[in-house]
Amino acid sequence: MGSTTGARSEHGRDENNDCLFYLDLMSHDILNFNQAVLSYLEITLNDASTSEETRHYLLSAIDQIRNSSQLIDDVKKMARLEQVNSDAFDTLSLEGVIQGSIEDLRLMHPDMHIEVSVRNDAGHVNVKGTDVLGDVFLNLLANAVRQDQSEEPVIEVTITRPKAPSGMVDVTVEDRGSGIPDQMKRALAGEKRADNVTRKHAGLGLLMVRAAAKRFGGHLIIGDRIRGDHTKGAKLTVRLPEVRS
Amino acid sequence: MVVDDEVFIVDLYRDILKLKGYEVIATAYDGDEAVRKYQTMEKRPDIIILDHRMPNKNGVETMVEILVMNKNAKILFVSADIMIEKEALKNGAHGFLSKPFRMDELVESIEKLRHEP
Repeated sequence: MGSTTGARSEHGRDENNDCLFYLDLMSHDILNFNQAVLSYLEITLNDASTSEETRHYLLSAIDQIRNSSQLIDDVKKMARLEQVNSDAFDTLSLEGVIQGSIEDLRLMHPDMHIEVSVRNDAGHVNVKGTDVLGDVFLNLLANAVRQDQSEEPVIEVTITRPKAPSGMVDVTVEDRGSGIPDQMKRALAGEKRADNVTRKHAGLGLLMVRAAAKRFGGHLIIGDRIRGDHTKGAKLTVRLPEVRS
Repeated sequence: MVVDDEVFIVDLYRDILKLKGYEVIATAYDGDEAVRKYQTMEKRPDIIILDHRMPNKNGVETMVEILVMNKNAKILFVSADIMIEKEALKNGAHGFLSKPFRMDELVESIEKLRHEP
């Protein structure tokens, strides 16, 4: 029996490795194709003879190329994260990671004024994680920008220690977007894999945040910025275990 | 000099760099070809734009061999594989860009390398 289980496990590992191999191959090639599409769009955009109307179309196409590349990055990171042993996680300064994500957000939107305020009520906090933790916060911030329809999005980030359970730290990102309906909150908060509708509306970003938070020993809490009224914006909290020295 | 196994990517670099006022003096489609060409070039390039995932010899191996020939060679590593960034920089790359990059990022990286001693 032991050998059968072992053989099954070995078989499962092989299949998993095959999947990762094909995922890697596919994403590498698509990113190369995206490179060519993005650059030729940019060349046309920078051509003096391009009309304003065409520029508008080109900018929309460039946005979608970025989204497609981001999606590939997220899927690769999620797949890789599953492979990393938690013993290999680094000890990271939480505020340092968040500040890095804010810088990345500004690089993603060089022409947009984004007001991001950070309130740290927890002081210096270390957590366990990998470079994916920066992507977790970047996803939350980018999601807040996407949801906010104004030209100058406002995002509030707070770092706090919850009253319970002890030993945890919360990073909360609040936006002024259209919020997350209760049905989707339940689906996103669930342990089950999200259904197709949730995946379509929430995007892979929040699912990645949920999976990564879990991998780092925490979880994602989804709420409303104004309690009870989801239409006033979302309040997304990543709760992580604090590393005490 | 541009090194990438995808013909359309080499063509793309040529188009961008020409548009931005640079000259591509050599191209190679795998690591072996890059090393052989670099060895025999009379006029060496100011900057080598180097891909990683290529047949025969990957980007890091290629870079190491080129740096043995000329420790002052300036190499801009460009790859769709961000996992290779640390290894590339550790082994002597002067810069790293992940695909897809914006044209401005490529030009900024080239200019930065050009002005490095």
